[in-house]
Amino acid sequence: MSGTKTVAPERRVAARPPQRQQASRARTARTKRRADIFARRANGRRLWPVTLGTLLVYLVAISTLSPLLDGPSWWLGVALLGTVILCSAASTRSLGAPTGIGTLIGAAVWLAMLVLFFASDTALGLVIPTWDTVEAFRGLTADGLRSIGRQGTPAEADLGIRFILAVGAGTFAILADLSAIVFRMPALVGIPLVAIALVPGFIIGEVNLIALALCAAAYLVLLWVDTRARQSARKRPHGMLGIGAFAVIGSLLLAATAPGYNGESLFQTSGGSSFGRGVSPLADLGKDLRRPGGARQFTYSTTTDESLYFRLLTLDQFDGTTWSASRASERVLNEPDLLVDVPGLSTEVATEPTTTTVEVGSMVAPWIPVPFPSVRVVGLSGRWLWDVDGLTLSSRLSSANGQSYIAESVLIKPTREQLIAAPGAYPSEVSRFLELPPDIPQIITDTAREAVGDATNGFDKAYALQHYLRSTDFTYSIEAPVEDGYDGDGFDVIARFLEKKSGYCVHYASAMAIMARTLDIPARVSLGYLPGDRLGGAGERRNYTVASDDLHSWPELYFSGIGWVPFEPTPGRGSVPDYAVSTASDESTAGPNDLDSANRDPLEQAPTGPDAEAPTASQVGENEAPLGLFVALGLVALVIVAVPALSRIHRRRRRFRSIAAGRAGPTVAWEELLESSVDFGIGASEAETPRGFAARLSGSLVLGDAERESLARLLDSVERLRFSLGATPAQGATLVADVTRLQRAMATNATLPVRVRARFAPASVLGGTYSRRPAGVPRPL
Amino acid sequence: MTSVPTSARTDEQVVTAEDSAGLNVAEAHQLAADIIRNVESVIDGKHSAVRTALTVLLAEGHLLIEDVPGVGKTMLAKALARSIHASVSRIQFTPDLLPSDVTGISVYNQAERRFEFKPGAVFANVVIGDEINRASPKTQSALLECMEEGQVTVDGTTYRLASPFTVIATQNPIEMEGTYALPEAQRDRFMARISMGYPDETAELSMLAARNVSTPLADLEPVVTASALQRMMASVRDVYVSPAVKAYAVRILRATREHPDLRLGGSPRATLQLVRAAKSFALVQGRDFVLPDDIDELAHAVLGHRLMPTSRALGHHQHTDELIRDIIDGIIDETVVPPSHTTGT
Repeated sequence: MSGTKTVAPERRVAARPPQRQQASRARTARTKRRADIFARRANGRRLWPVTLGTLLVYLVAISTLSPLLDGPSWWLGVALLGTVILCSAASTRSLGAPTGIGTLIGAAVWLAMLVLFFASDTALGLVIPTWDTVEAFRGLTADGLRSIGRQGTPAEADLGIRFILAVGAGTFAILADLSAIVFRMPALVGIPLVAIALVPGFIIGEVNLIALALCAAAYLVLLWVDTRARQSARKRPHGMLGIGAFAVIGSLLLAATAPGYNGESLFQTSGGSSFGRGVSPLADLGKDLRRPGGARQFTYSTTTDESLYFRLLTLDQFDGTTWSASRASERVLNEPDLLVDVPGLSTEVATEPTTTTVEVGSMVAPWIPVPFPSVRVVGLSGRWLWDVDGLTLSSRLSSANGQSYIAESVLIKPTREQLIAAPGAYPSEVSRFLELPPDIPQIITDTAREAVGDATNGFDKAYALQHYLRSTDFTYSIEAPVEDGYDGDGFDVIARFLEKKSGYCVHYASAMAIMARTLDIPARVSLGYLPGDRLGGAGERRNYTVASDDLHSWPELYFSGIGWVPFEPTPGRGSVPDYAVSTASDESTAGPNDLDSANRDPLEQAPTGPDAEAPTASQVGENEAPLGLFVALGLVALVIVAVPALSRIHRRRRRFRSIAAGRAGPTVAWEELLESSVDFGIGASEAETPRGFAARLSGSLVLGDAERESLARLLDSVERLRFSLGATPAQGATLVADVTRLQRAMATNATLPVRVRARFAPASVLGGTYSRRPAGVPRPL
Repeated sequence: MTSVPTSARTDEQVVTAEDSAGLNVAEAHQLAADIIRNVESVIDGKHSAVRTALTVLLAEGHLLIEDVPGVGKTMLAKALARSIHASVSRIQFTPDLLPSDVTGISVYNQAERRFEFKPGAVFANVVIGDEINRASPKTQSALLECMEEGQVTVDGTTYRLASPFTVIATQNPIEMEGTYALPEAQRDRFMARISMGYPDETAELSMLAARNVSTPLADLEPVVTASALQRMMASVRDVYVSPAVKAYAVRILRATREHPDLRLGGSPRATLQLVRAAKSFALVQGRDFVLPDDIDELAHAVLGHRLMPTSRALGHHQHTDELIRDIIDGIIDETVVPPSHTTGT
């Protein structure tokens, strides 16, 4: 009776198994998928704090750009962009997507936002880019670059600049998300962070310690949050935190102190607090002075054989602290056929008409260099205004950058006699060039009177002043005023300068102009360039090149009937005009062509114009090849690259030393092996047994007999040590040799990129010992 | 038709308990290898099942072999029993099998005018219980009580069972008709449950080539004497379990109790048996200490039949076994081996 019962079901069952197996495999796969999704959702939720930490770093990083841009609105836009990118990536992960997909979604959202905000009219359905969108983006990029080139700091964040910002900041956000969450190496976020934090330093030449400290703090917060979020599965979080912190803080400090980057700014944070406004438009003279290098500014060819001084700007107003360009003189729009008058020039003075063709290279300034006195300038693009007193051209919107033009000028050649004979009465429009604040220091008036002695006429007085300043009592120095704290051009500074008798062109020019005014000679200061270096060109045309270290300033004094006459009081710089050349032999330093560039005043003062935009700021970035900055950046990059690698090597050596000395044994050797496998992407898990790891290792590598033997010996030692009684496992040299052999095997089995990563970005250093779990093992996080 | 309730083999001597000194590791390993080789000469491609079966035998536990008919469950049980020079009995369980068929019965002896005890099938060193889930629960529990107590009480008299005493029971999957599922309390008495599974292609082919004889078992010779087996069992008791491994086993068992998908986790008896099985397994591998890997290796066999999934978790699965397998795998993957008791050298 049981026979039928037993046979029948068996037959039925016997037919079932193949399908059952298939079905069960499908079921298992389904279950795995479900479990994976649940695990990923939980993982995604746990990663939120890391995302928020990344966002904090992002916000701080973009805030460091504040000194460069005007107004808060750009910041809000860029902050919104980053927030949306990072949060959409994190939300995607919370819904169960793999971490990498989260970043992809973030990138897609970024692109959609770029299209929506910058080129929605070219897009399908506002956000789907078309070919036109690409063109629009290209145009926006060009606009942005042009705008950056033209504007000083803080620049107005126009559409083009905003677009470039959105692209750059978005890239930063995506990179940060990728490193912190997908690669789970938040320490890598430090690289783009340092890159961004250094940008203002490059452009305005000034490091803001507060901003750097905030960057470092935000970075540490990110590392800390990450460590906490992953703590359950992680060992050695402090090591990672420490190394990361060391790398970033170290490189930021290095950036702040590196020579050439900005020597004096370590304790000087007042210059432009990064979160407020106002990089001072008055470029720091000392900074310009001491900046190494001299970039080519412009070249010209001219018909005259005289040395041409090129002027950018005339500083006609002195308020006791600084010289500046007033708005008092008339402005006339430049037209190709406009011929301006040379103020004060009478027909009795001999002149030499000169034509000069100028080609400006990369020099960003709202002025163009023209020889004095130019009367017509042809070929400029943009809207340029003449200052009819100073005979300079300025523009609010255009830049000298890349301009090419022809300046016609009339070189004045007054004779000494004409100058001496000039009457002491001046026309009323010149009287403002005599104005001085009432608090003039005694030493200036005294020195002026002393230097002039018994000279009676204006020219003799002027000549005496120049002679006095060029005397051997005075030395040319670009360092002394800074060291002694009297850098600048105000009353106090000039008083100190006259006392110390050491300074550079700004001091000489300013001193002579102020003293001339005390002696009732109208005076002003010109800012521009020395004639530069002769390149060649014979006959009619002579070619010169002018570099940023030809920047110069000099005084000009007014003589009735002749007009403005330049002088050269700076010893060792430039050439003294024929009419002012000493007749005696005491003028040893002032050869008319004393243009040896080695002696040049490498500094020039930037004017403080009412235009308030700092030419120097942008000139610094563009013109004075910041060799030191590159060195600093190189050092920073080296530090960042080297720290993880060195730390890994150090750890390995320390372990091997303790093993060789018998202070450590198989456990430490095994640890070293695990870390290497993490470095090479083979991975190690805390929940994995030594035997399990060994099996996986020999499964994922092609091992020779010797390596297999080493692995078996190591495994045996570590197992006996951990799980058996009274074991005497392998010691010292054998252990080291075995570990080394296996590490070599890992390296030879790895592809080149993996090897490079293992060496320079070892995951065991950047992500803790057990950062990676073997494939197929669900990870706690 | 009623199948023969017992077929006690009396040609083997019943070995009784005697304390014997353990063998050293190498000898024990050698003997274990001999037994395995012997059993594998009749069962192809089932190394893992054979090894686990021997492990349970040496650990003085009982083994449940569960699989569809025809994959060699009984063959394994018999081959293992025959490889040992010890008494073997076989019980074919059927729905009408009585408890006294298993344990024995007092019969009135007319000649001697007194009751005398006729020992049942359990009085042997190795008891093969075929298709145990076909018997009524009453009969099942009679056997299982013997397994737990190591003795039989009939009419107020207690009879000690042989030592070593091992039950190797086979059963068909519980989904099949005409079966009475073993209650969980009784499943817990088995140290381990294994499935045979189908042989792979090579194994099946070589089986066809080798099995000309209808009764391959007949040629099987014992390779181990009962006393040697005793000494091997003594060696198992001497295998060292480090605190780290003990802690690891406890962690795994605790994890089964806390697992959200499990209604019933492993009992403390399960912990005990897991560690004991691991010791035996280590010895079979030629080691005198237990590795966490031994625990991992045996976790499925020792825990699989004791865990009960929640109905909610079962909702997504049609197969309890697969769910349980996934759960145990997950626990093993996530349980961290505690740091060793010593550090450094």
